This record gives sequence, C-alpha cells and structure tokens, in this order.
Amino acid sequence: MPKILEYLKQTALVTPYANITFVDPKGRLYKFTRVTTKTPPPPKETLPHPYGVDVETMQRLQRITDCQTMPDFMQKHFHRVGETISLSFLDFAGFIRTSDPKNLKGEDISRLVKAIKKNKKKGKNGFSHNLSVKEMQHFIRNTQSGNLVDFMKTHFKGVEKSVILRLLHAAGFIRTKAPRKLRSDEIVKLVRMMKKFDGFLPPDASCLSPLGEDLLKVGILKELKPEYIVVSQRKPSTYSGHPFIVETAIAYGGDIPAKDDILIYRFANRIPLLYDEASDICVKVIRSMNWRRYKVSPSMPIVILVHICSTKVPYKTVGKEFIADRPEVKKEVLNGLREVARQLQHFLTKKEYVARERRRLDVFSKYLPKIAKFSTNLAGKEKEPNIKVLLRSARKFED
Amino acid sequence: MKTKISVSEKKKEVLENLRNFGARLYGQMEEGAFPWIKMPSRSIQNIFYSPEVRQYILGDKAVRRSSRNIRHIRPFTQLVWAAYFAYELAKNRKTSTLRDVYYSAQAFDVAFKDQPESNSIITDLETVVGFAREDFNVFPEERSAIFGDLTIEYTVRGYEGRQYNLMSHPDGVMIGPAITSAEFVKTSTDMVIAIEKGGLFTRFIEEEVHKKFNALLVLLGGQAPRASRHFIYRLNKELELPVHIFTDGDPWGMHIAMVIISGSANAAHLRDLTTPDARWSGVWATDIVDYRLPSDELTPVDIKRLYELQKDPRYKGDLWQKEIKKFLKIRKKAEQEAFSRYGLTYIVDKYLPEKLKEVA
Repeated sequence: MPKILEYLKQTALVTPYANITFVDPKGRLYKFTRVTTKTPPPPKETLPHPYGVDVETMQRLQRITDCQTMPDFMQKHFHRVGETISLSFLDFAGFIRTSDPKNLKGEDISRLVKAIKKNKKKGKNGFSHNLSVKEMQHFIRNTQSGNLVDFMKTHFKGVEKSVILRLLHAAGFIRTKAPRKLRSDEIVKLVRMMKKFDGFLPPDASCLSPLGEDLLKVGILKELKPEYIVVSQRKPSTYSGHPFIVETAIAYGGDIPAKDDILIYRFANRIPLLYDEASDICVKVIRSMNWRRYKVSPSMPIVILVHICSTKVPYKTVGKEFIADRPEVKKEVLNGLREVARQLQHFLTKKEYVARERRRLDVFSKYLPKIAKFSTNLAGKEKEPNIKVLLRSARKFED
Repeated sequence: MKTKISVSEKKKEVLENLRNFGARLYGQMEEGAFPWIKMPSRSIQNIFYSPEVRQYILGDKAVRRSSRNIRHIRPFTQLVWAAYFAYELAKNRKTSTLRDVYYSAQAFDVAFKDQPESNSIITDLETVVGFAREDFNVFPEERSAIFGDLTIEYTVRGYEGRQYNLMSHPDGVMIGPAITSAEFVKTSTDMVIAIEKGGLFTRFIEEEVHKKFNALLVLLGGQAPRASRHFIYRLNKELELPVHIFTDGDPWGMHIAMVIISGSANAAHLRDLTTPDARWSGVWATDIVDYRLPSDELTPVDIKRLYELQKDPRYKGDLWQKEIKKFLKIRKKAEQEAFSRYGLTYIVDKYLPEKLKEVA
C-alpha cells in the first residue's frame, strides 16, 4: 500500500468520527467512512507550565506582559500557579525583597499587626497570641533579622513560610521588580530556578485531547476488524512540565494478517507516525518486552497501537518522525503496553484452552460413535447405545 | 487320531469371543460408561519363560485401556474395528492379510499411521480374544509348504467336504488358509520332517524321503510362519507324529528349530503354536566335525548371537548347551547343502538314517 494510503488509513483509525475521501492521481476513489458521530472532548486552552518554559518563551512573555509585579506575572502567565506558589517560588528564586524591620514606620507597624490579627481571625495556623503594637515594636527593637520574612520566621514560631509570605504580600510589604524591567541575566536565572523549584503543581491534563478508550476501540474495529481488541488509557503524567497521556491498544486476529513480525501503529496527538519506526521509543519498548510471557509469538496476527498525546510531543528530531527516549514517557508506554498485553494474555490463554478442548471433543465425537457402531455390530444388537451422555461429559467448555 | 481339535469348533469359539468382546463394550456404553478393556501387558517386563508350559507366557501385569483417555481412544477404536473386521471375515469365511488390514482401516476412517501400528493392534486383538490372528483369518504373507501322505478335508467355502491327499502334487502344497483350516482325515506316515530350505525340500521329495522314512515333509522357508507352527503343532498333537527339524548348522538355524519347539517372546500371549516335543535333528556343530563338512567361519554377529542364546532360558537343555559350546569352540558353521560334497544323495542315504537313529 502506498504510504499516503497507509497514512489515511491510520488517520481514519484514530478519527472514527471523520469521513475521509481521497482520489488518487489515477482517479481511484478511497473512502473512509465514519462510524460514530462522537468526538473526543476538545482540549482546553492552557498556559505554559513553569517547568516547560525556556528562556525564549520567558523573554516573550516578559516583554508583552502588563503585570506590574512578579507575583502577578507568575499567576497570569503560567499554568497552575496561584498566589502561594508564586510567592514561594519567587522567594526560593530570590526575586523578593522586603524592608528591614528597623526601617518600618509607625503606620507600617500598626498595619503589620492588623494584618496578623486579621490572619488569626480567619483561623489560619500560627500567630496564636494576641499581639499589640507595643509588643511588635519591642520585637523590632531587639531583632537581628535584616528583612521582614526572616523577622517573622524568627519571632513567630511554628508558622509556615508560605503563610508569612501571603500575609506580607496582602499587607503590601513585598516588593518585586516590574517584570518588564527584568535584565536578561535575571530572566535566565528565573528560568533556571523554575526548573529547580519543586513546589509547582503538576500540569492539568484537561488541555490534552486523547481519543479515549471507547473511540479507540471503535476506530480499530472499523479499520482492522480484529477478533479481539483491548485498549487502555493511562492516567495523565508529565515530563519536563508537559502533560501527556499514553493510550495503548492491541488487536488480535480477524482481518489482521499474520506476518513475520508484530505490526506497530504509532500516533502522536492523533497523527500517524510512519517513518523511522526503529528509532521510536514505543518500538524500542515493544522490542524489549518478553512477549512470550504473554503467550504472544511474532507469527501471530497482532497489531499494537501506541498513542502519545501531549502539549509537547517529545519528538527526537525536527522531522517529527519518532518519539525520543524520555524516561517518564518510556515508563508510561511500558506500563500501558503491559496492561493491554496482560489482557491479551488472558484472551489467548482462554482461546488456547477452548481450542484444545474442542480438539479433544472432536476426537471423542469422531471415535466414540465408531466404537458404538462396531460393538453394536459385534454384539449383534439392533440399536446402538446412547453415547450422547458420554460426549456431553467429555465437554469441558462453554461456547 | 487321539486329540482331535475340531477346526469348526474352534471357529465357533473365535466368533463367540469376538461377539462377547463387542457385547462387553456395548454393555459398558449402555450403563453410561466410557468403554474400556483390561488385558495382559505385553511389555518385556511381563514376559516370562514358563518351564511347565515350555514356552514364553505373559505375567500377571495387566493394562487398562479406556476410551475416556484421549490418547487411548484412537487405538481403542482401531481395536474395536479390528474385532469387527475379523468377525466379518470369520463369519463370511474370507481370509485376509496384515497388509489388507492396514488398508481396510482407511475405508472406515480409522486409518493406521503405518503397518507396524496396524500389526500391533492385531496383536492386541489376539491378546484380548485369546486366539492367533490366523484363527480369525488374518494370514501373513510368507507361506510354507507340506508334502506327504496325509488326507485332509477342506472347510473353506466352496470346498466343504472335499478331500485331498497332500502327496498329490510333487512340489508340495502351500500351507495357506485352506490347509490351515482343514480337518485331518487319515495318514500312513510315522513322522514329520521339517526342513529349513526349499532346495533340500525338493531334493527330499525327489529322493522319496517320504517313502523311505514314511514321513511328512514340511518346508519352513526360513523362520517358520505362525500358521506352519500351528500346523506342525496339530500334526504332533492330533496325529501324534514325532517332529524332526533340519536346519542350517548355525545359531540362526538353531533358533528356527527353537521357535517351533518353544515359541517366541512375541507370541507369549498365544498358545498352541509350540511343539515342545519336536527335535532339532541337525545340522549340529558336532556334525560339522564328525562328517567333516565344508564350513565357513562364524562372523562376529554369529558369535554374539551364540552368547545370547547361551543365556536364553529356552536353551537350558543339554543338547543345546553342548552344541552352542561346540560352535563357539570350532568357530565354524555349515549349511544343509554342505553334504553335497559327498554326492547329492549322501544326505538322504547316509546322514538322515544315522541322525534319526541317534535322536530317537
């Protein structure tokens, strides 16, 4: 089959809700008809995850933003970054400045005390004793700390840093540079620290659009017409801040031809990958698996399908021909394949059992009537003995 | 005729046994059981030499074959088919060969893989029914012959009641199904002389050995077919004729005689094939020396065989042990024809009378 047809066929497989019509240069018509009108839910638009941002992207964001402060910038332009996380990160990365407690004016002190009281009223942890302005002034006079964050941490035991940061932020004691004024070395540092910080939440997979187990099944049934099919969708996972979902499927028998080797279909974001199969991580994983353990032999009519769905598919090359060897992706692909392989194994075991029992029963149903016939003849009887009971008792499986 | 074994009586018994076999299986199936049989094991471990019966017999070990067992059901079916086939043959008084059996099975869709498989099923049937396959009309290819004054009466279809004298044809009469199943009427002879080779058999007829010694001549044609062994048994039992066996003077000739006398391990499940009172009357190792016969060196295979025979329980007798030792000592063997060195009639004129006297 020409590559183009292969491409269309595989596309039709992962888009069972699409009608595809193709007329080749010789005027031959190829039609791939939809079998369902259901489509997978469309992906939601999403912000970049801090882990996945490079310097270039950061520069672009920093230039166009209208945010005046770094916490605002972080919250507005990045995925799953709220106030607490933005403050924690900026503190971790060293982008936060606060005043020396000794430089606080009277009104600043009373604002700080009010903020602490307010915080207590809300029932948050820490700040258990009722603090007066006088007491605060007393603390400030005696403190060694050079900045407010440190000061708060030293004098209010058992309070989490994130709580302190939020409190100071709310009371307006935190100052950051305006994002647009970041120098290039600061941008590089920001990006580097983003990768180092472990407090970011994992990306949300609602931005991905996997096909889903049901549609995948429908698509495979439509294009391959197998005897048996098993599909599996892994839970969302991430690599370098990019969410991804692995979908795997194995189809067995039916119209699938038995070749010398297992047939592998690869997809990335529902696009068939046709070239450089040997370099693909999915293929490498498949080759590394001990298929005999799953009762699979290379001569069986089997198609294995791997679909990787991600905001950034980890292609190895700019040609986008195959998936690179990412440990996180590899692990998910392997687990996904193991899952479907296990199911296939159950199926094959059962099939083998039924086939064996059927052969057994065939032998009984071939020979028992003969024994009955010959012995009836020998014994000189008219009627043959009833061997139906015997045949039934030899039957060990249900259809 | 003292112990007359009626051929027709025996046929009835064979048919009866086959019918019973079928009825047993039929009954088992009627009771809702997978048909099964139990029969003596024919494995080497279960074959013993019985000095009382003077032949090999099967021990107490039995095998159970059940059609419940997936590995047994095909041979089991073939066995039942073979019984059916034999029954039809015997009932219609037709005969057949092992090769026929092999091919006939194909028509009933119970085909055998090869000839040995079909042979082994027939042997199973012999064990189950307790009769040799010749009794249910399955005959081997090889045939031997008989010549002499014995009148028989046919029981085969189309010849019933007809009588025939076995001296009627100078080439001898083939011991086939018709002769095997015939009843003995009368004879004037005093002994049976069984001869290994065809050339000598013809010479004996030409030299009128049958008249000179008043004997029935039997051609064995190498290792005697079972039909001939059974026939010799009948001559010995029914007509009370002593039996002399002449073979080549080598371990193989010795064994031809021994199988007629004491049977083989392969036929341990059968009776009435052996003639324990038959005598091996030459050519002995001592004859090679005494008559200074032209001889060949024993080959290593011959010598190996002699050592085997030496330990064989059938060869316990003094004569056998003496001759085996002699063979091993002189390391020579001689054929029956070796006597021709002294002229073609020497064997009949000189050797045979001397030998018969010596043995008697």
